[in-house]
Amino acid sequence: MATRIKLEIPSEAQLLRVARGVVEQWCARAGFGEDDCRQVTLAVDEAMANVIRHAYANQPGQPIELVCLANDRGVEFVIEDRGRPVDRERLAAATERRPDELRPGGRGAYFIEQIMDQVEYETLPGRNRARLVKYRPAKKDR
Amino acid sequence: MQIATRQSKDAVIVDVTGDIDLYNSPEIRKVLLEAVRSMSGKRVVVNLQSVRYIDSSGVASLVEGLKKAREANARFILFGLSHAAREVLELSRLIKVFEVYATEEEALKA
Repeated sequence: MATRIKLEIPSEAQLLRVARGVVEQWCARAGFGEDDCRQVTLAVDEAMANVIRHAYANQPGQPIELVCLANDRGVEFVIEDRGRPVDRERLAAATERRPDELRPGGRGAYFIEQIMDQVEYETLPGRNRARLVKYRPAKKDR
Repeated sequence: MQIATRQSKDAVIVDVTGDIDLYNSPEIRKVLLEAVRSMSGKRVVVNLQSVRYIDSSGVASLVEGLKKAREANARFILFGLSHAAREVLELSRLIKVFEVYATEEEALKA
């Protein structure tokens, strides 16, 4: 069984739906239940939307790479872009703010943290990488 | 995604069909804010029965609609939440902030 696939898409919000389809099917194929598939799809969608909005400032046509991995531990999604580095202070503020405040935005990062078991953001030379991991239920150590 | 509005007594009903994500949430936002502007003192009812997917940008549009409705002394009501929509609103801890009903009838009577 294939344990890794890679999708390269330009930074266009209209294509997020395509990526969602891939992620949902990848999770299902890895044996995750419907609820987990749906939630992980949301998390990865949010991460890619953040790349479009923040890393690329809504500029279309910029490269986003999504790598989907699966193994005994669970599934992993690695999202890479070549845009502006993650603003760590803003990211920390977004994940720490109360989500039920009546402010329009800033919930994407919070959703990612709530849904995934492991979330890492790295700034590398010329690119940014987000790594989202969801463990199979029996393997969770949280 | 498709979005349409219709009137019913003292309410405007906004029917949304499809996925709400970064691509189309601006359109939802625009329609909701326009509905609120037109219904000052009355109610805006959002039909989410056919919404299979909603992300944080969709939630942001609903929150903005709610805020503007409160400022305009109008009620902002959701009905027909799918499992996915309910889950996202629960994740946001906003499920109790919105008025939510199961059916259109309940939303209009409330």
